[in-house]
Amino acid sequence: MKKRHKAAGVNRKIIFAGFLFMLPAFLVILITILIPLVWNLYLSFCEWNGGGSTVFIGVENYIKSFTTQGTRDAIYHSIFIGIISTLVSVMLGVAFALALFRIQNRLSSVARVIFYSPSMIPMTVLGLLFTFIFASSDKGLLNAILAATGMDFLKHAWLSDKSTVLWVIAVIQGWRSSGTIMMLSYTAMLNIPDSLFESAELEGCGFVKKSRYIILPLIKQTIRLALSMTLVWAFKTYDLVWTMTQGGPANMSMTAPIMMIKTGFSYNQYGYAAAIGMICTVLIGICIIIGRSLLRGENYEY
Amino acid sequence: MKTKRIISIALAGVMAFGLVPAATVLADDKAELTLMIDCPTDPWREDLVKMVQEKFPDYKLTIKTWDEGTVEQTIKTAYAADQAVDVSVYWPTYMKKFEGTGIPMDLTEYLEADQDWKNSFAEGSLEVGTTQEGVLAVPKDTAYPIFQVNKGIFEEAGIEVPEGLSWDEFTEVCEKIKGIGKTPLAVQSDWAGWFVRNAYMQCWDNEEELDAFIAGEVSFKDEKAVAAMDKIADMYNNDYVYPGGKEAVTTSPDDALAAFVNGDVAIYCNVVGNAASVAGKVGDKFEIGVVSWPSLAKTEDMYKLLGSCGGYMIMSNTKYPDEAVEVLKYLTGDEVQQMIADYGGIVTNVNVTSEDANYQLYSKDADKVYPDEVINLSSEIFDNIVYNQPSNYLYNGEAALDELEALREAATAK
Repeated sequence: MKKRHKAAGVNRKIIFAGFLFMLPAFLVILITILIPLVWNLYLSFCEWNGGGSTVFIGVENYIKSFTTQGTRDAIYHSIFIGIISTLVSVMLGVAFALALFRIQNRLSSVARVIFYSPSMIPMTVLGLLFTFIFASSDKGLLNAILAATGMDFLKHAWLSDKSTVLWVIAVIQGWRSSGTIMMLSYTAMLNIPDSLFESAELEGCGFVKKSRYIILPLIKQTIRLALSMTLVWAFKTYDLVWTMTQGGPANMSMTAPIMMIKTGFSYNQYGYAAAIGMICTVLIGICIIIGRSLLRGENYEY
Repeated sequence: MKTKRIISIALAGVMAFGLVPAATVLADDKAELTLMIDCPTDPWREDLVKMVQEKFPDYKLTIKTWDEGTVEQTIKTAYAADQAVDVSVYWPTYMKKFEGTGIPMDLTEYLEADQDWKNSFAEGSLEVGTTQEGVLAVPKDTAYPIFQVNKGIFEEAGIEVPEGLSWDEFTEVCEKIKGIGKTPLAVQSDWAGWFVRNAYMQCWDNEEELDAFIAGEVSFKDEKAVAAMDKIADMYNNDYVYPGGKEAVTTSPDDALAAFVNGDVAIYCNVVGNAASVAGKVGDKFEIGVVSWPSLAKTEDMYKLLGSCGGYMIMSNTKYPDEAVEVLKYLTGDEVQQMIADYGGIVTNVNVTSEDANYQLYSKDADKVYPDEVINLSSEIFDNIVYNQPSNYLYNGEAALDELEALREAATAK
């Protein structure tokens, strides 16, 4: 009996210590995420100009968000960039990781740095860099290359055309994130036991078959995680768009984050900005659920 | 155990003692001022920053870069976070945007207490930054748009450089320049809205109509306003603007300037304060002429120009109001203003003189600047016209005007 009491006491102590260890992290999450989230939710039902008191106006801000063409477009652009860039980053990242896994020699460490380097470049620098590349005048690098190679017919105002501007931004964003996805996928691949590959080789499988039937199914969990991460990153795209187009021309590349910042800090409509933020949060959640359910499958233990 | 205790007490003592000098430093209350006065487009930026730093060695100064597109957000964000940008460049013309926010400090008292300072401002210029809440900003220079032209290209196209142009004359000039294989005009994306803003002031028959439009009583779909917008759209659709087509609305500042300096473009849209700087970059490559912005006005008295005084404001939450005012006085005082004038800036300090032959030319249309614009109706309209026109109209046509109409109705309903 005494022993049991002692054991329970030790357990309580461990649990208490666990809580103590968690406390700093919890406080950080509480202050930086939970409280702002609740405050943002409350604000989205209010009218507030940044000074003075808030006025409760019910769902008016949400109705305005759904009925204003500019806001709807901005949200749509964010979803478009989010989905396309996620697809690009996941496909590129996994492809790079497979390539690295295939070569696995000294060259792979060099290739790893090269493939990962886009993720190390600050977004604003990347934005400026690609602005020069995609500039519409003849001074734009891409157009200059096309002209020099006799493909003038392909020259385009990449950042001023509705049919291309969002694609360009999404692909750059996807390419930028692909390094991180590559690292995650590559690490997951390294954890796959050699015995599985040896068995496959005995069965006469080449690398393509090994990738299809062993590697990709076994790293599916990592891909699902990567998909959620990149979707959230891409949906929040602000700096890249701001540096490249500032949401223009004619708002054709306006994204929800830029719209939120403008609405809040330029137009003093913090409640409306909060409502756009809440709508985006819900939409990101829905996209993540859909994406993860598409990749749902059996979990393999090895 | 006892030894450990003694050591720990001793360490704690040392730590506590170590805080004494830190506390002394904190007690040394040196005024810490954040000045957002370093404007990247000002050719005198380096001299200005150096002069201020040398003038106030006893203040701890943090000089921040000023950005036209984000200055308002920066000020409001800082205020919301209870941080102060003690002195910031801002347009006195647009101080109405801050009415009711409590952000700008009223400078009336300081101006009344120092009549020399007050009298150094050009007549009427202080009124520009004055609202119902007092003098919220003081002016430093006048800014309005002009054309700088490449006289060589004009000559080649058989055009005599005029002082000013009606819109039809401007169109003719553009056609002639196109005729010799050159691009008529370069304007950077941020300044493309100047065409719209000037058109919205010049397209009316009289000042009553203009004032009614500025007050939000006239629709953006009024036939005169639409006709003005169509003329601007034609300018882009006829490839008058570098590099051609609608895409010209996205031309970067560097691209626009490079096209002019390299002699690819005949006309460069500029602001008077930068005219001397651009002339310096052109150097001996070609001779530059100064031409007034083309007029859409039917009569001479309706030739109004957008423009503003560039100026300074102090945030009301500054911890050092007196020190901030001291800096403000220096920035608008004779020494700094003379330096700016020497660079070709059109300053508002009446004690400044200039021997630059072009100085008078740069300021020839200063009296045409109209003190109010329709963009002041609301932040949304400001943003839409200043940063999204004429691109919105070019790409979206009438839908762009519907959007403006909705914003006008919302603004007037308030």
